Amino acid sequence: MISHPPLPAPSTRLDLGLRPVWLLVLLGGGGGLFLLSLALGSVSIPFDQVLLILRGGTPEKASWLNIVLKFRLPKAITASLAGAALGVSGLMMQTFFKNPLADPFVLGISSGASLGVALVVLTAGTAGGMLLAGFGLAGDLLLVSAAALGAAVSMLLVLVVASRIHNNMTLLILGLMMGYFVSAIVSLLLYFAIPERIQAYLNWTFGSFSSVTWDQLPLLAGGVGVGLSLALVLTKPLNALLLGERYARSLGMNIPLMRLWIVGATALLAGTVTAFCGPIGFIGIAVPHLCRNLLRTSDHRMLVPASILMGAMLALLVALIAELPGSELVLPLNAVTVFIGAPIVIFVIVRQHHAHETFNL
Amino acid sequence: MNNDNRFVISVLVLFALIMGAVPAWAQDTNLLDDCVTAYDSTQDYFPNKVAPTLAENFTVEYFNHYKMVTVTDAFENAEPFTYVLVQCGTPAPSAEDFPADAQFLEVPVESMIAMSTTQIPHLQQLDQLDKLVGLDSFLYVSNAEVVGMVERGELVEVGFGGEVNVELVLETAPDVVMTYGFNPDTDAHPVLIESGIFTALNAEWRESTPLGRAEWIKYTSLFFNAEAQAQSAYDSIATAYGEARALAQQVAVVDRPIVLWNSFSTWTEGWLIPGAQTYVGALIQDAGGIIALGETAPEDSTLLSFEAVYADALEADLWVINEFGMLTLEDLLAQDARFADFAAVTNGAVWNDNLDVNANGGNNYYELGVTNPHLVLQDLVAMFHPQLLPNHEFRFYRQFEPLQ
Repeated sequence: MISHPPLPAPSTRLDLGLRPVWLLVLLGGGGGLFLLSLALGSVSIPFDQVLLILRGGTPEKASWLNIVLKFRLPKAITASLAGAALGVSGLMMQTFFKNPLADPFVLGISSGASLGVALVVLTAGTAGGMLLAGFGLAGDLLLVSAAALGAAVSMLLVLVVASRIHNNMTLLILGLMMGYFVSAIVSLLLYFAIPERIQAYLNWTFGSFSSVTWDQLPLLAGGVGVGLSLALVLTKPLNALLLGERYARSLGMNIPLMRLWIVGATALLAGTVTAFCGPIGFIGIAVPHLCRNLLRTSDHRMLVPASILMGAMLALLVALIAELPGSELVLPLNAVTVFIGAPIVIFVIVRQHHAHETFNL
Repeated sequence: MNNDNRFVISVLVLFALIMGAVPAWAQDTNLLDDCVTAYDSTQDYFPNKVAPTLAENFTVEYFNHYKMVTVTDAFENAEPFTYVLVQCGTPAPSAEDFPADAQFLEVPVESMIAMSTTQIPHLQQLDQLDKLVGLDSFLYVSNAEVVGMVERGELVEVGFGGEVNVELVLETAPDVVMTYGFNPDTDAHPVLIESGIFTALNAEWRESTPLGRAEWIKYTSLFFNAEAQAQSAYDSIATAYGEARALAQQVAVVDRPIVLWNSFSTWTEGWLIPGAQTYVGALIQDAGGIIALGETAPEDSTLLSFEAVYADALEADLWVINEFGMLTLEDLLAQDARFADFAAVTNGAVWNDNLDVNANGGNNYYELGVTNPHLVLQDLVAMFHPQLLPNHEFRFYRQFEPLQ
């Protein structure tokens, strides 16, 4: 009789290997970029003074204290939160739709926020605008509330649709159509607006991390925090979705409920970021690809934390470059995200082939 | 008849002949409403002439029966525009003597569509408001008389930029449409000129001195033969401006306030600091103020980040925010809480340029203020040096109430 050597027991746990080390590397990189973005800006402040300020000391020039604490620190925190939120929501959308081109805004969230902002900005100063101001909201808070409301309404619509429609392709197309429809309304508002208001709206669409002050940060941090926690809890269903809905169901998962949670978490993350920072493109698409190729895995237990860290890093890098330290010029964020992000993604994807493996392309 | 009577009669006849012939050979004012009936090629039909002194973007050359007007620098990289304004009733000169794209027009015109509210004060000061037949938009007009004309339905609204309603303009058939250029791809003038409508470009917004900009009233007057009125209007503006300026310049440089101009929000691209050689910079300095961060923009304007302005301009004595729709310091702080750190906010020295704004947000600063810079300068002098003009009534600027 031929006897076979005993086969090793099948592994019941996907081997993560050395990948957790990468998370430490990303954490270190993120921390470094964070400090760098505190040190560099249009005003030159010596690095030792920046460290002194962070330790609670008094710098040589009084205005430096305020610049670091009131301008650069909230901006760095905002960029980190926004980058993390966009990276993770992009990852969730790509997994959900099994589409490497999906981004957080594919369900029309940013269009909804744009409509809210357009209504406020393009009617400001007119009778309609005075009416809105009478509700007690003013200035920046009004802008944020309008964008948040627009994003929330889009999110509700998407959730309602997602609970009825079980076909992902249909959901994607409906999301796209809604996005187009809302953008058309915004175009109409722009057509009848005066040039100063159009310029103001256009500036909002460029995206900015600088307008969130300390009193608004708790709201941003809260929204993003809840969304990120949801994403971390959803790693197992996300893994299952990648392998197919039947497999997921065989593991005892409630697919419709999972879909709602995933869509809800994405909408919360994308909507919160858009409300406070304007529509920031590209980070949501680029970060998941970067993480997949760096870590060479599709396991969401690694990808979600990696996307959080990588997203924060990419956003901090983009914010730093847009500030053009040493010159007084400031570039719009959305242009810089593409200039930095696209070459990185192209390089990574051409060198590796994990998009192919993940998405069966 | 005896010899005495014959003598008297012949003197009277001669006198009558002379009196009758005087209008024919000694015109002493430009023809505001009439056309020439008997053309005389030796006669100068424009005894009242104007010439730009401070304005750099237009020139006018007078010939006996026509004026050649050239507008340079109407917009970025613009070619010069040439207009040949021919006194009506006289033959037009040959087109070969002029550049290929020169436009010919008979003056005085009888109807004009104005595509900028800055032309309204010109027309009023030249006493030609009755010739106005249309505007680009009714929303932003401040002038009371024109508002009345709008309400009585005497004017048409033709839209602005590339979206101008050409059919409506053609139907209204004005003698001239006066507009401004910015970007030929989105401007009204290429569309209008192509439709055969005489379109005159106004490049006053490209002048860098306040009086140079005001001098464009002379340009407008060329179309109406109203040069005499334009000269007199401009002279009184220039005199008043010079007086206000002299008053402010008495203040020693060390006593002049540092003035922070403009503001920053997510709605703006950056903090626009005016340079000394710009229109606004000239106004600030003529009013005896020092431009905050003016060293970073010695000639032209510059866009700075909030951080850069915060680092160096917190101690400015006065802050003129020029923000649409802001009425109180609470509005300003709602925009961004970090504005509270500016000294001007703590001292209640914050101003905004929206004192004279109509219901739709149209600011009279851009209508009356641009064409009458002496009014703006007087406001600025009263703001920077209240002791020089103690009972001044502000026309364009409002001071914010201090924080409660």
